[in-house]
Amino acid sequence: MNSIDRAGDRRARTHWAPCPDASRRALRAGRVFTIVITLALLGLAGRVAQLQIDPPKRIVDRIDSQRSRTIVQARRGNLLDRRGRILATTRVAQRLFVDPKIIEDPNTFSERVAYTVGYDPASIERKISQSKNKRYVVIDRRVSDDRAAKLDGFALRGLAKEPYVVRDYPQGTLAGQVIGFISVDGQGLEGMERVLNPHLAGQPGAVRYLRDAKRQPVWIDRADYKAPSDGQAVRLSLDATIQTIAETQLAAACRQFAAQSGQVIVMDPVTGQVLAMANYPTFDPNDFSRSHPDDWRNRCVTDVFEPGSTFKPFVWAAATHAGLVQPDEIIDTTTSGVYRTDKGRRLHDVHAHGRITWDDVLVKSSNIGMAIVAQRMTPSQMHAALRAFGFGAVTGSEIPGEAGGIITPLKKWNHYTLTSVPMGQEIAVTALQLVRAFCALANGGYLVRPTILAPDPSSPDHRDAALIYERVLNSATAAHTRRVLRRVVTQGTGIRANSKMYAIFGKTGTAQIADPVNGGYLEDAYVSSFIGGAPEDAPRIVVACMIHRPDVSIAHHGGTVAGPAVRNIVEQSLMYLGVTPTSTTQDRSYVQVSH
Amino acid sequence: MLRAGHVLQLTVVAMLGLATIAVHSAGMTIDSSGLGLGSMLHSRHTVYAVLAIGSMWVASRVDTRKVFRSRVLGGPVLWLVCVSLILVAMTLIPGMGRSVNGASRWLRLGPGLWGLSFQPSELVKWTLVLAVANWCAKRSGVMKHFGNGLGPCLVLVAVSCGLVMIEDLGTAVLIGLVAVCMLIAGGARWWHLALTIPPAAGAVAIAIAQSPFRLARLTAFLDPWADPMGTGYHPIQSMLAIAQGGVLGRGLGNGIQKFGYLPEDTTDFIFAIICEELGMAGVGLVVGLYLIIVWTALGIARDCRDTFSRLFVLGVLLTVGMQAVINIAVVTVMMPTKGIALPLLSAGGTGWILTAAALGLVAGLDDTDHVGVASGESDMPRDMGSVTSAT
Repeated sequence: MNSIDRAGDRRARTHWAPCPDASRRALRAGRVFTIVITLALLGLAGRVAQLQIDPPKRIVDRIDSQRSRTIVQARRGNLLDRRGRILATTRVAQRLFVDPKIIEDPNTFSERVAYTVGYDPASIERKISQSKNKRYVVIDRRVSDDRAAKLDGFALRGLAKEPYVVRDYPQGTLAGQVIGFISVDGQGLEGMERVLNPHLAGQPGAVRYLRDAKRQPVWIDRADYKAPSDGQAVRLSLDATIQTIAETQLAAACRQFAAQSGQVIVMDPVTGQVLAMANYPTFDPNDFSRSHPDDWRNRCVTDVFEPGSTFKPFVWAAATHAGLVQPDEIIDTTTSGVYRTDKGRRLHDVHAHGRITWDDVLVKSSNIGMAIVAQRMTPSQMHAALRAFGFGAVTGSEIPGEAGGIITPLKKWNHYTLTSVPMGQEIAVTALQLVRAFCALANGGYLVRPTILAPDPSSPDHRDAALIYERVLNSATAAHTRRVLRRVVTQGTGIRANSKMYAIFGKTGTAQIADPVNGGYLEDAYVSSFIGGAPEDAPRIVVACMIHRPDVSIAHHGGTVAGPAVRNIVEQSLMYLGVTPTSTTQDRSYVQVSH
Repeated sequence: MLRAGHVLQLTVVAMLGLATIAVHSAGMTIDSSGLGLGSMLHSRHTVYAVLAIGSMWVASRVDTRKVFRSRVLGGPVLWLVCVSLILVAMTLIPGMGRSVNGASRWLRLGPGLWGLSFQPSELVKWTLVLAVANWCAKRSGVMKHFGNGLGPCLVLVAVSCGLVMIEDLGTAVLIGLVAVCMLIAGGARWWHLALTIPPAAGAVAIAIAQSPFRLARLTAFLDPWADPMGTGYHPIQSMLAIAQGGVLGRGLGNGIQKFGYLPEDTTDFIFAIICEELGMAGVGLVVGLYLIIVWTALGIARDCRDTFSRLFVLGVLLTVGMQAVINIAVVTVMMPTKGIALPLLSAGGTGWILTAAALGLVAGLDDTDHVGVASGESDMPRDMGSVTSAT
C-alpha cells in the first residue's frame, strides 16, 4: 500500500462529495458519442458511394492510364491458285536479335553464335559493333527452320529470338507482280494483296490488360478480350503450273533476244479467267525492298503500247462481219509494195504481194490491203468496232492499276487514223485488252470480262452468272477468222509458232515504239509480239507474248522473237490441261479443206 | 441466449477474419501463386489474427474492475501508464526505434531476425483510456473542480499526447480526442475543457509547421492535383481505388491498385482495397461491423452500473469508432493523410492484439455483470462504497 495515496484519499474524503449522477452522465454522453460516430460512419459510406458511382473526371482519366490496349492481329488469309496451291500465306517466324549492351565480348559472342547456328561471324560482329548502344539489333529477320532447330536449347546472354507473324510467298518470284505484297503493318500495298485486302485482312481483335505501377502487364479482365476474326482465303484463277510455264518461256525468250522486258498472258477464252500473267523481269515479294519499284508493276495491265500487226485481226474481222468485204474478194495490194491513198497518204508493205484475196491480206499481214478495205468504213464505224472489242476502256478485271488504253477520240479521226489503226498504229492498248479481244475470236464472238479470281464453284459453267457477255462477232466470222489465223501460223509470218501437237492460230506483230520526246518512232526499238490460241476448232487457251526492245542485231520480228515462246507455252499448257494433241497430218488436211 | 459480450467477441473474430483475407489480398504480388489457403495459413498475419483472438479471449476472462482498480503498489494502471510512456520515449532515442516511412514509431523486440516490432503509441492509446476511466471514476465527485479533479488528469493526457505527437501526430490527436470525450462523460465542465483547446491547437499547429511532410500532406489534401505524382499521389490513388471498384467491386483478389499504385495498401489504406475489390458490399460489411461493435459496447456500458466500467467501455468504443472514422475519412480524402490505422483491419500485430484485448476486456465486463451492481461498486473506495451503491 502506498502511504501517499492513502493521504490523498483522506484529503479527498474531506473535499469530495459523492456524485450519484456520474455513471448516468457517462452513459448519456456515451449515447451521444455513439450516435455521432454512427452518423460519421454512415456519412463516410455515402462518400464512398459517391466516389464509386460518380467519380471525379480526373480520377476516371487515371483509371484508363492503368490499362493498355493491344491489337490482336487477325491471321491474313491465304492467296491460292485455282487448284488451291499456296501463293501467299501467313505464318509465325522467328526473329533472332541481340542486345549489344549486355554482350561482354562481341568477338567470342559472334563466333559462338555463328558456329552453333551457322552464320557468318564477321557480319554478326559488325552488326553488334555498329550499334553498341542499342538494346535491340536484329541479326536474322527470318530464322530458317534448320537454324531454328539449332537454336533450340542454345542459350547465350544477349541473344534471344522472338516469334512474329510474317507473310510468306512460298513460290518465290512466281506471279510476283500479280500477287503483290503487304506492308510491315499488314496492309496490302501492291497487286492482289492490295485489291483483296478487305477479304484477306480479317478483323483484328483487341485485348485490354491491366498494368501495375511498373507498367508491367498484370492480367486481362473478363470481357476485355475481343477475338480477332481471321481473313478469308482467296483463290485466284491463276494456275501455278501454267504460270511457271509462262514465266520460264518468257524469261528464256527475253534472255535469248536480250530484251528489256516482256509479258505473257494466258487466258481461258470462254470464261476470261487469267491462267497466267507473267512479267519479266521478276521480283520476289518475300524481299520486295531489294528490287526496283518499277519491277513491282504488273505491266500486263499498267502499260500501254502500240500493238502493230497483232491488231489487224480485229479490224479484219470487224470489216468482214460488217459485210464490207468478202473473204475471197481480190484486193490489189500493188506490185511495188507502195500504195497511195485517195487523200495522198503513202503506205508500204515489207514485200509486194500483188493481187491477193482478203484472207491472204491477213495471212501476209499486208498494210496496204488492210488500208484499202478500212477506207470503206466510216470513222464512227471503226471507232465503234474498236470499242466493241473493248479497246479504249479498262477491262473491268480485279487486277489493280489497269490502264484504259488510248483511242483517238472520234471527233479527231481523220484519214490518217482510219488507215493507221488497221495496222495497229495510232492506238495504244494493254496486253490484257489485246488478249481479251482475241478471246472473242477464239470463243465464237463474244467479249469476256477478264478476271483473276477463281471460278465460283456454284456456277456450273464457271462463268460469272451476273455478267451478260456482249457479242461482237457472229460465230461464223469468228470461226473463219480463226481459220485464216491458222494459216498465218502454217503459211505466213507466224510459222515459227507452228506446233506439231496442237493447231495454233495467231498473229505476229512487230511494232515500232513511239518516241515520247520527239514524236515519230524510235530507231531499232520494237515490241515483238505474238498472240495466238489453240486448238483451233475448240480453243482452250489464248496466249499473248510481248517482248519489249529485243536486241535487233539478234532478231526483232514478232514471229521469231515471241512465236516460239507462245508455241512452247501452248504445247506445255495444253498437255498439262489434258488436251489431246492432234497429229500434223490431220492438221494439214484440215487447213486444205478450209482453203 | 447470445449475450452482448459474445456478440462483441464474434464481431471481432469476423473482423479479424475479414482483415486476414483483405490483408492477404492487398499484399498479393504478381509472383505469389494466388490466394491459396495454404499460403494464408503460413503467413504472419494469420498468426497475428490468432494471437489477437487469443488475447481477446484471455482479456475477456479478466475481472477488469478488480484488476485495474486494485491499489497494490499504487495500482496497475499507474504502472501501465508509466511503462507505456517510457516505451514511447524510448522510440525517440536514436538507435532504439525502427523507422518506417520516416517516422520512428516502432520498437524492436527480441533478436533482429525475428523482426518483431512493436508500436508503443498503440499501448498508450489503451492505457490512457484505463487511466482516465480510473481517474474519473475515483474522483467522480470532484471532476467539476479543475484543481484536484480535471487538472491532474489533463496533465497526464497532455504529457501522453505530447510524447506521442513527436512521432505520430494522428495517434496523438486521436488519444487527445478520446480523452476529452471521456472527461466530458466523466463529469468535467465544458468550459474547463474548452480552455485546453487553444494550447492543444497550438501544439498541433507547431507539430505541423515543424515537419515538412505534415505540411505537404495538408496541402495535398487541399488540392491533390497540384502535384499528382508527389504529395497528391496518395489521396489520388486512394480515390482511384474506390472509383476502380465501382459499386460492385472488382472481385476479391482482383484489385489493381495494390500492384504498386496505392502505397500502404495492407495497412492504413486497406479500406481503399476493400472498396476496390468488394465494392459497396465490402463497405457495408466494414461499416456494419463497426456499428455492431460500438452499439454492442454501448449496450454493455448501459448494463454496467459502475462509473469506471461505463467510462472504460466508452473509452474503448470511442477509440475504435473514432479511429475508424478518421481512417475512412483519410481514405476517402475527407481529411489529410495521417498515420492512423483502421482498427482490426489494417495489418499490424500490435494494433490487432491490443485492440482485440481491449474489446475482450469490454466483453468481460458484460460477463461479470451478473455479480450485480453492489459488488460492481464494491471496489470503490471503501468509505464511499455505501453511498454509491445507494444510488
